Amino acid sequence: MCKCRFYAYFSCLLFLLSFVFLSCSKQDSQVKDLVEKNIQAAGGKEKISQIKNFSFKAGPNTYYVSSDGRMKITVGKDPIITEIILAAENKVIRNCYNKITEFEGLMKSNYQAQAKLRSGLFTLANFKEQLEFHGLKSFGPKEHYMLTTQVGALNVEFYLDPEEFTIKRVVFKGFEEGQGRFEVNLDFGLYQEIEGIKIPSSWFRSQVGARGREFKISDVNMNQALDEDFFSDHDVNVGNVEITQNSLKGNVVDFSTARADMVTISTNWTKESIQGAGFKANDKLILEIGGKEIEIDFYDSQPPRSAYEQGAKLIMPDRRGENFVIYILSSEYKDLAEKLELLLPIQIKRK
Amino acid sequence: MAKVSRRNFLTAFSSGVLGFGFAKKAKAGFGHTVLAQSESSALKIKKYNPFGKTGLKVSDVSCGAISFFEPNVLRYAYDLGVNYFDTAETYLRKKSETFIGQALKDVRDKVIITTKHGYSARQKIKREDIIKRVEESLKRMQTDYVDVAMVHGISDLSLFNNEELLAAYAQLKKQGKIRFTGFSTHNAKVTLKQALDNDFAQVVLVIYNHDEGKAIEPLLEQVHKKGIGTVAMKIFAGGKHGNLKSLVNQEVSYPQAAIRWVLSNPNIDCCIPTMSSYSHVEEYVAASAKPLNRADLEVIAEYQRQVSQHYCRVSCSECLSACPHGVAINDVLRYGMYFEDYGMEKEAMSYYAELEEGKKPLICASCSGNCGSACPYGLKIKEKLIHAHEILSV
Repeated sequence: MCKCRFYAYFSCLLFLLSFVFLSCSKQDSQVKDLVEKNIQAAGGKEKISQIKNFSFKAGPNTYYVSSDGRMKITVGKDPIITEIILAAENKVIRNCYNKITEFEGLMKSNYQAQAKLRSGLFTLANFKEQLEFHGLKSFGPKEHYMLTTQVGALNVEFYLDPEEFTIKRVVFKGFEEGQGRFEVNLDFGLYQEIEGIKIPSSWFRSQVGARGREFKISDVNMNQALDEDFFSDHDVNVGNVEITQNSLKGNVVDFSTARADMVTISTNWTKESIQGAGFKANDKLILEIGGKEIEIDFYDSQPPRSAYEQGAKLIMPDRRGENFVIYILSSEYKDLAEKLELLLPIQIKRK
Repeated sequence: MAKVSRRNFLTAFSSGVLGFGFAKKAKAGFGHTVLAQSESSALKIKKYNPFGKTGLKVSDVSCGAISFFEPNVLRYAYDLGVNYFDTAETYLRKKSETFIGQALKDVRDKVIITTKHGYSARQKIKREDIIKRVEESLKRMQTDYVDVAMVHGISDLSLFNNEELLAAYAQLKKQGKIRFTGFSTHNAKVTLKQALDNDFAQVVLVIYNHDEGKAIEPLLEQVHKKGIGTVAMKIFAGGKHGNLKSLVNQEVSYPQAAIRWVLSNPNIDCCIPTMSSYSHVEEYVAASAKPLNRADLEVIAEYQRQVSQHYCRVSCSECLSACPHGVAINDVLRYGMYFEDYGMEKEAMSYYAELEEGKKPLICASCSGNCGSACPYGLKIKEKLIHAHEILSV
């Protein structure tokens, strides 16, 4: 009797264990099959393996990725590069106006996940070892295969078109103590074929609670001749800064003359260079630019309202950047517009 | 080896042991795991409110269709129970109306659509032009009628004295091309008061959020009492939380808290957060019919603490009289907000380009006007105007 019971329990256990094994194997093969189909949809394993690097522009950034999973993002009007972000498996570095910092936490994971995605030519190729399959998810009449993975602290959700097997959307989600909730959606536009590889023509980036923005992918280049150290070189191109007491030499990194009564000049001077020269709030400085000498007021932070009077000429920290920007609110210097060019030498010195 | 989650394992296990094909048949021979499916099917609109005296009922959480990437986002919203969709001729440069048509044409009788047309004070209003524009909207939306046709973005109701305009809308109503009329406004303090004595306004769309709602609450009550349908927009008070850190804990979502705050006012029939992507739809629908709680209020207080100094309460308009040159301070700052916080650079610049030159802050730099102390919330108006002009006009 006991023996019978033992056999019955043993058979059940065996059945359950077999089932668990089969379920896991099934998951495994489903993921494998989906990844293969996804790679095939992008042009096939062989074609993709021929791409050693590729680059494209989207919004204000240029993205470069290597087939081994590294990514380099550059910001700035060519040939200026004011900012570089290098994402590799072990770290993510940012160089902004020669100030180098390292990303940690969710932002680090975010760049690493994007590097993996882009270097796999927008396929699952670089994620295949860690994917979980969640079946079909419906978004109204449309259905997408859902797969998830973890990149560092970040949950990444992939949604694949069930007919074409291309990635239609990616959602990055995470939460970090003291940093709050992080969630970014990338919805990809139609895929375009370039040199036999299918990549998205755009992505629509959105965060819950705010409206989204579309980024068109353009200027796609594959297999460029890049220097060996290209993906580790984080040198920006913002000209040179020469710091001496009471004087600062530098270059123009951007400018705007769209308004007749105002010239805006972005410089390559940062807080550190300004401090090095010893300039202090309310200093009167002489700006030398394009053969002209212009007296300007120095502000080490956002100036008061009165500073924006017509005729005002001032230098202050850029509201959105790490550098200093010069505002000349006067039509008197209209002719300066013709002389302005990227990397034009400029100097300020104490009056 | 691919990982198997506990949930997947249990689902696979139970369906296998029981030997039933519970799961939906998946395409291309893949999986029988429909967890993702069942998770979202629990998500539904749970409350529909009477829409003024229109006889319609609208989902408490409804859909703003100003920025999204494909029609199916709207269709997903519909599938989750959203039945009110707000668009405008100008949204996505007319593409929003086209997307509305593509997404909802086969369920047209089950949804309520509002579209809006703006009329510039600089141009002569002609009846036939209005009719043509509305008809073109209908064509784009692949429908014979629109439920609510609104006059877009008015600051007072003087336009409703225009006989050509009134005649055009009357004719469209008679022809069955529009069912109800109304307006959208960023100046509710004035327009809602006027709406009490005006029959054109059957539905109104107003800014209402935790930061600038209080001032119009008595008017909202009166308007609602009169039987005018009330729709709240700009419910996230600037949408700046995408840029904010340390805002939420893991359990409380700011967008849901903001929605619940708006819907806690019984004089609001529905709100229309912009549903840009599927995650937006899911996040906002989840707030349907849920009461505002203490945790929500804490999140909102934190938002206010962080944003208060940066957010122009567009409907406040306290500063307008301080400008000796008639600069449309709130409009300029609103377009600046569209540019910087909403990620709608092109649209913001085109709205700004359409603004009368006299209302732009062109001479602010040389003006020593009184706007500096005019903002009751302490915003540095002059700096903000100059900055807005800079980003919107380059």
